[in-house]
Amino acid sequence: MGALLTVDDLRVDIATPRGTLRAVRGLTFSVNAGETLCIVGESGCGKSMTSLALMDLLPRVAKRSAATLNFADTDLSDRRKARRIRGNQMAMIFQEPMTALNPAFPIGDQLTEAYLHHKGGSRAAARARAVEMLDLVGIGSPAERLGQYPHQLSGGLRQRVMIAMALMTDPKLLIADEPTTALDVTIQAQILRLLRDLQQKLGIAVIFITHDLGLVSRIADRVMVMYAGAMVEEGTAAQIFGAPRHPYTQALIECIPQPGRTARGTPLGTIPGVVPSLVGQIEGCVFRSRCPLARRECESHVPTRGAEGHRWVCVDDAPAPALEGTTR
Amino acid sequence: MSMTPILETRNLHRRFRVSQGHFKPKATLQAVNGVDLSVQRGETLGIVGESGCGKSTLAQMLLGLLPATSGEVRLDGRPIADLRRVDFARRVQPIFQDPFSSLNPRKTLLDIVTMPLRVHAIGSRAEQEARARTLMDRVGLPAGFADRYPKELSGGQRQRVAIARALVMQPDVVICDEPTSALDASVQSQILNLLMELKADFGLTYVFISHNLSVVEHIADHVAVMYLGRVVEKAPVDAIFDAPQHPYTRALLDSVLTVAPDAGVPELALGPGFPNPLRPAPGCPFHPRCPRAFEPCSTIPPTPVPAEGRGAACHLTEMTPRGAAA
Amino acid sequence: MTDTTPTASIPTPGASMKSPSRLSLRRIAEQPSLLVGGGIVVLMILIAIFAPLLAPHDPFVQNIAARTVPPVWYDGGSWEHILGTDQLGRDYLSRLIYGARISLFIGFAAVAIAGVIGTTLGLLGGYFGGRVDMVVTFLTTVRLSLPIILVALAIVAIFGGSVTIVVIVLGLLKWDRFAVVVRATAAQISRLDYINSAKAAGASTFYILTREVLPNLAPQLIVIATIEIASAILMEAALSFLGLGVQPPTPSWGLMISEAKNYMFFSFWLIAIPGTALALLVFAINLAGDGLRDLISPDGRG
Repeated sequence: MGALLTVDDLRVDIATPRGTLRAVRGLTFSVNAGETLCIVGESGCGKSMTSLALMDLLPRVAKRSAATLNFADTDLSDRRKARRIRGNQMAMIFQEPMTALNPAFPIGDQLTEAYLHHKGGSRAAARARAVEMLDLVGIGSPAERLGQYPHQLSGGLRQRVMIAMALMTDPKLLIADEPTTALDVTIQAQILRLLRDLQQKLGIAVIFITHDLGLVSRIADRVMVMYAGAMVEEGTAAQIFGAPRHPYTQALIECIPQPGRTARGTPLGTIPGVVPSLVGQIEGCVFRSRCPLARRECESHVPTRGAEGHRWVCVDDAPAPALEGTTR
Repeated sequence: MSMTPILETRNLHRRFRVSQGHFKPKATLQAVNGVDLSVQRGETLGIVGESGCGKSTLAQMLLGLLPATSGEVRLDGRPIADLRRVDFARRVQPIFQDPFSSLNPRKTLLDIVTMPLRVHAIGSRAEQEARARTLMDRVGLPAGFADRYPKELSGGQRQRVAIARALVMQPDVVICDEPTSALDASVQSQILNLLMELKADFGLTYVFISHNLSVVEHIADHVAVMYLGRVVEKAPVDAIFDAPQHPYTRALLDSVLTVAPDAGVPELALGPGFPNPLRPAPGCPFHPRCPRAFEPCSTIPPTPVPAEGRGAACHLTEMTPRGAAA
Repeated sequence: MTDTTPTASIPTPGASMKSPSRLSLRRIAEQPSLLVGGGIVVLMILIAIFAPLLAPHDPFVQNIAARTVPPVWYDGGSWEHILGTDQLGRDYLSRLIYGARISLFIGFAAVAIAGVIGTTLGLLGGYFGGRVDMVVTFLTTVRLSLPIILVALAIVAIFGGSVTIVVIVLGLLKWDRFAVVVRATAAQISRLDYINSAKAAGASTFYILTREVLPNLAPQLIVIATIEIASAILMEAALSFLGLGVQPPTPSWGLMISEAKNYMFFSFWLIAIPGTALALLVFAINLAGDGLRDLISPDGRG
């Protein structure tokens, strides 16, 4: 299948008193119809800025630029065309549904708003669609729920409402920014299963943004690892977790306790140092200030290695020590 | 088990009166509902549970910040209500979750770390500062940081300051309330390693409260699982994670997303109904969501887990002799 | 093992930090409002302190022969009386200089009293909550329901006007804003974990309130204090203007305006000069307050 979303050299620059903060530094990737791309990284790596840039929801001080930004043959850098896509064929789910939902309006109004805007039709039709979507995301007695306010719902239910809202316009691409981070683990598992089932049923592509490597390993078709605003490695979940090639990916996986692989009570892997300042250009490898393998070559241009499926940005092409995938 | 535990709780309860809005009667929230726990010197007791299970209320009570409605917390066998506040403070210290709200933004790091010493008037000003500097060095803060303000630090560095402050009076017990939950994975591992090293170096006892089961599995010796204010299962870490007895523990463990690219998202046989903590179900509070609930669960509360020893508060395990699964 | 030592030459956050003292000196220089406002206020304070040295004449000595002499830049003005003389022939510049003493003293003293009352009440209400807070809220509501000028008029009418009475009356009436703001902020701060850490360290409530909570209120206190000082100075002027504040012949700016009002069509400067001084002082205090707040708040640092 062809790519649904094509992004080439995406950049987000934020003007600060100390200079231009380059939050996203030339990101190139694509998302195919129906697949799940996970963007993973630690705070400040630019993953959320990427999602906001795609949805054109960046704060005013941030400037977006891209060589290519195409969604199903529509150029998203044309803001007028993009307005018809955004919130319609491209929808977004946020981390904190309590702040994403307006506390002053019943959820029925909020569910139908985007639908009426993009699809038109009668209020009754929109409400029928809302009931259908609430039912689809597993909310009982959906018709009564339309009159409820966000604060009357639990965190898990609110996130289901957010998903239902995103699905109202029958999108082809769903961008989910840490949608389960605020939820308890049992609720998280239920929401993730729901997302997966809906994806299979409706054939939606998903960009899932998270810091949780375990979660990524469970849901991703493809994984993009970001560091300091740049992609450092991209591949299938099996490639990223089975044979990570970039030192950052390897180190990050070593940091989390993995039952069955890391012995209880033993020291965990760490990444010394701090993320470099994102103000201004970074010459050479973005990770070199913390990389155990850093050497002279890393200070100049670093090539992107690997084939289409699995690529990484590193001076080293030597195979990394294989890490076995683990299952409890 | 004959040794006196360094810290224990006996039938600990904490109720809150919760307003349900104007003109409605106040409801009672049983945040902590008959908790019996004990920690031996040098151990790490992990407490896990989801939001609203009462683990943070319990942490406040273990720190003496919140009085018990009934029951008691004991330190070396003595109820802490009988101890002087300052004497208790020297022995039990906290590390909190949010490294941004746990440090006073108007104080330098040196002031923050020496604060407990000044409160207790231990040593001269020079001695206090020397001790604080030693500890700041031990937790991995560069020497030049003493005169900086919290704002200039990263989350991980702030948490190191909080650890130094907790240890500056050489306490015996440290209550860690979600100490790494606000941190990135690479920083979390640094802090966990540091906590493990410090425990060995200073002979500390930890109560480690977290919603992250992988972290608790890594750091704890014993684990207590809480649900709606009660301890539903308690056992050594191996037993909990390798052979969970309570259906809730099992569901929690199943929902942990370990790195396993082929495993997919686990299917939980849990009812979706989120419990209302103001109106817990009669009988076993977990029965409305329990896949294995049977007749007595909806009427008869299961026997609580005893303070010493191990077990699950579940009618299923009561049918088999306690401890048989070990 | 430490997350602070970068191995390569990539600039890291924190590496460019200056020492706090140098930082604040540079930041003061970067605050034009603080420089200008603070400069004017400091100048007026110096003038007030050194009034006996600076005033060319005795502000109380009348000279009926030289009444309403205009300032030097008008026809008929002389360098003898740079700002002219008033309706009783007293040197206007000298009265203005001595008047700064009264205005500044009343402003600062009244707000010092009000600040202590309001901050204490707000701290207690916000930190303890519950019954204590109910009492504080009640007192604040009672105070807010009193029309401040009318109460001040009534008290002054009963006890007579003097600098002391004006200071006490304004001090006892102007604490409400302190109480309201301090209470809200203290309530927020008291829930933060650094307060819990201090409690867990065994710190006394007094220690927590004075050493942990109070320093964090400094930005708000400074802002309110400047607003209130400015407002107290204006209120003193208003009371004096109404004849219920400072009594003649004390040279207060408000009184000077009041005494000049009968002559304002003939000797306009009599009202314009103290009016300008008053406006300039109030403006400068507000300007300095804004600058200080920006400088002191932890969010603005670094």
